[in-house]
Amino acid sequence: GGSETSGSGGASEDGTYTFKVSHVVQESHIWHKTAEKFDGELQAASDGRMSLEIYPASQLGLEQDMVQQMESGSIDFGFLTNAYMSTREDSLNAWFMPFLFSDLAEAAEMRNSEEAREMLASLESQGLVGLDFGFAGNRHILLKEGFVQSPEDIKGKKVRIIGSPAFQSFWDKTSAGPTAMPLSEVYTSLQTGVIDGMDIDLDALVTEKYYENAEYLTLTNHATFPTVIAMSKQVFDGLSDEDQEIIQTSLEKAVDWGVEEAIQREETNLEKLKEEGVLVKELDGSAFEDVSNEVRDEFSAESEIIKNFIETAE
Amino acid sequence: MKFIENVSELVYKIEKGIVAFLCSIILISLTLGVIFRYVLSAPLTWPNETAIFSLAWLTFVGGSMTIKTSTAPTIDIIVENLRGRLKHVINVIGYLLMFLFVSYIFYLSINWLSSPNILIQRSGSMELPMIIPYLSIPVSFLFMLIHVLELLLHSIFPNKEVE
Amino acid sequence: MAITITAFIVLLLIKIPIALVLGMTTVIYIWVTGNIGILTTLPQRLYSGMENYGLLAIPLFMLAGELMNSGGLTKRLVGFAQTVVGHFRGGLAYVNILANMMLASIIGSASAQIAMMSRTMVPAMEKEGYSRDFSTATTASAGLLGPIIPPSMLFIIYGVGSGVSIGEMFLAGVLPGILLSLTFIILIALIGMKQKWPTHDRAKIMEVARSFTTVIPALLVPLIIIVGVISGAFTPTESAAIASVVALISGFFFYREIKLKDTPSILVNTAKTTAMITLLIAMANIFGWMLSFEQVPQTIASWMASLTENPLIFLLLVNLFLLFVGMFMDGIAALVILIPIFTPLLVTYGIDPIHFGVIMCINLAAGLLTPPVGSGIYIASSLANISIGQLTRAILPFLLVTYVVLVILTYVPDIVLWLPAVIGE
Ligand code: NA
Ligand code: NA
Repeated sequence: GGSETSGSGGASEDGTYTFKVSHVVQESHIWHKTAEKFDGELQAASDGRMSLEIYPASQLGLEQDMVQQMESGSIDFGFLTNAYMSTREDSLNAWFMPFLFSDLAEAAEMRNSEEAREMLASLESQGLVGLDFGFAGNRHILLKEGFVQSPEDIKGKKVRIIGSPAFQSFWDKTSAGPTAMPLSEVYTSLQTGVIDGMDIDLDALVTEKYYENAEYLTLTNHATFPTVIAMSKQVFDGLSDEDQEIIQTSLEKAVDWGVEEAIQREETNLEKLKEEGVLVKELDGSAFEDVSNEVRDEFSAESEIIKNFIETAE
Repeated sequence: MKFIENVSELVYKIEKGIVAFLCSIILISLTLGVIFRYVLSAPLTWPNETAIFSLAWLTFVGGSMTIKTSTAPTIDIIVENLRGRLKHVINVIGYLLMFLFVSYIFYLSINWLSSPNILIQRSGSMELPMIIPYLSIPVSFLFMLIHVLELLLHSIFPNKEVE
Repeated sequence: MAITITAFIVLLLIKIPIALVLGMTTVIYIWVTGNIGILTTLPQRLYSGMENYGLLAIPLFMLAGELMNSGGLTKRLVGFAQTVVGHFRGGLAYVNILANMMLASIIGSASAQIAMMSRTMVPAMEKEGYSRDFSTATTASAGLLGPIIPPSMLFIIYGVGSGVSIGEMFLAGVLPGILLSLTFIILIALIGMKQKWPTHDRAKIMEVARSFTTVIPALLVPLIIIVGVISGAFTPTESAAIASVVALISGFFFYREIKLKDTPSILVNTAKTTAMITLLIAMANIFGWMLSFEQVPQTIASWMASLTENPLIFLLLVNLFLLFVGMFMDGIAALVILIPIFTPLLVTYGIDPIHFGVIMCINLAAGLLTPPVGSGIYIASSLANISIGQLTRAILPFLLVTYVVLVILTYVPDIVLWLPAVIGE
């Protein structure tokens, strides 16, 4: 933040900065790699004046804590999941509109859309400067038994989902039984039938080995899963125009790299999963048209940005 | 002195009612969660959040009760082996520091909840306003403040209760 | 940092509740570093420490324990154990261990179990001619099974703090719990051979049958918990809820010992014992954040790495450290403070976090029985009305075998990890 103590971020007399970056994923995750890349770009562009201290895996707190610490300027940057931020800013639900993108590359293209810029700008009232969106893999469905070709196939199945308004709405409408559950219990719960499946991205599937207990993977691409990369407004406003510029361009380069990397990973992860014997099938989303239209209408009514976002994406 | 004692006792009674209620809510909501998932095969989404919010309230209100009854874990090996005046002075200092700390957290929590960004926050599945669980902090720290003040006054004037 | 550490120690020693000390130390740290802006986020962090599904198991297992007691279930379990193994030489001592094992599969805390059993087992053993010292020592030591045989408050807290599955922690505790029970039984047999203890008449087969039929509802509770945990049909939190409901129904309808008017005090007691732990966890959440902010774990990690690269030596050092901490600090308090410091080091040494968690929890539980600070010995000695000194002497052999078991578990991780792995197939 804005203080001058050694090692805790912020400015010193000679205009050098060590910024604190916080996020909630493990060090192997693409978001962490993106943060590291950002550090490199920043150091290069500022001749070593600016660098990052990265705190992974919620070390500095959960997301609600991160936002508050950014508001007060004690953390400088945060990689916040869009799922959490959508409980604070409605328009962010746009990314979760069902079956809007057929793959990750399509989703990532929307990063530079006008609507995405508007979403980022809307965070200002919360003391955040929304800088960019990063991506993890798209969401797919993993089941213990059978593939998903229509809502019928998941009727009454207990599916672990992410706690977010849009995911909740989608899953409620499919007539599956959406269940919120901490990730640490998912592996055993799949194994013992406490749940029948989960809403998941391929990266997590590979690292957490859930396929050992559930081997039917339907590639649904029913939603994408971005991170909102934001900076503390208080800290940002305290920087010179030139430094603000350095930060923005360095981050953009890092995220460009991270998005490409995430798209690559989507492919390599799929290869790995097939090697592990996971049964994979793609979904033709037309059977879900009614459900997804209902969700899209519901959220379009709440936010003009979502409505436009859907139109642009289509 | 008598007044603060009475207030503290009254608060304690209220706290008892609150925690007994919360405990029942935790049990009932999670049991319903299991029944709906297993027996009726229709998982509910509200039990987990309801139970977690109840636990937060239970923790801080119950925590205030453990301060009141001096049952919160402490390291008492040193103080218990002291005698007379020194022990008395250390007790008073201890309660004074506790009083300052609890007041400070109370003050910070009021500041925290007055921020406009609190009201926009909603929970992930029930979309309940987060101010409802958040209020557990200022409310229970206010309760704790009353109890600690009573303990502090009691430690400064230990003879008053004999009168 | 020196000011912060000094403040932490002084505040602890002047008998301020440990939970509040954690919060105060964090505030002092922030003042000293001048990063005042962070203070505004403290209440938020205090709250978010509680946003954890796993923590819900704590009030529910507490409630199950309270209901077992007031519902007369505990009494029946002890009676049943007596009809089964009471006739051996030293029978009542074995009954003590067996009843504690059964109780341990319902109750998650050693202090709770010691308090419960000291009232029933010590007078019973004394009446049959065992010395009071030995009776109290046996009861207090067997109470250690409480947090080792699932369910376990310590394992829940470790799971929540380290991100390890609580269900797997529970499974990992089963074999170590049985191993510890067996070593206690062997120890009792050895002492018994020397001391020519009384034997009890063998219970008639009809008595065993009758005792068994009355104990069935009481046995249901541990059965549900164990089966729930092993089969994974319920999450640990859910099995705690179901166990409470079964205990409530048995106490209410079968044994008719719970009256409607008792329920408020059962609920209030549960809430208070829960809050003692969870308030500590909430405060430790801001304390742990201070440690991360200051990169304390990384500093300790690099210091440890410079001392040794051998995981076995590392574990030995950790065990000695925990033994020392356990002498002065309550196990749960020590656990919540130390988890964020130790768990980041495990990757470096390639130690399984479940293995480490079990060792850490058993070690800190044993601290309840080590002087000068040990709530277990205080509870037992005051309930049995013997001096701390007497009890400490009598308990020493039990403590020694506990540490032997701990060494075995440290060097043979399979005893801990085998069951979770087999069930995980
Ligand atoms: Na137990
Ligand atoms: Na001790």
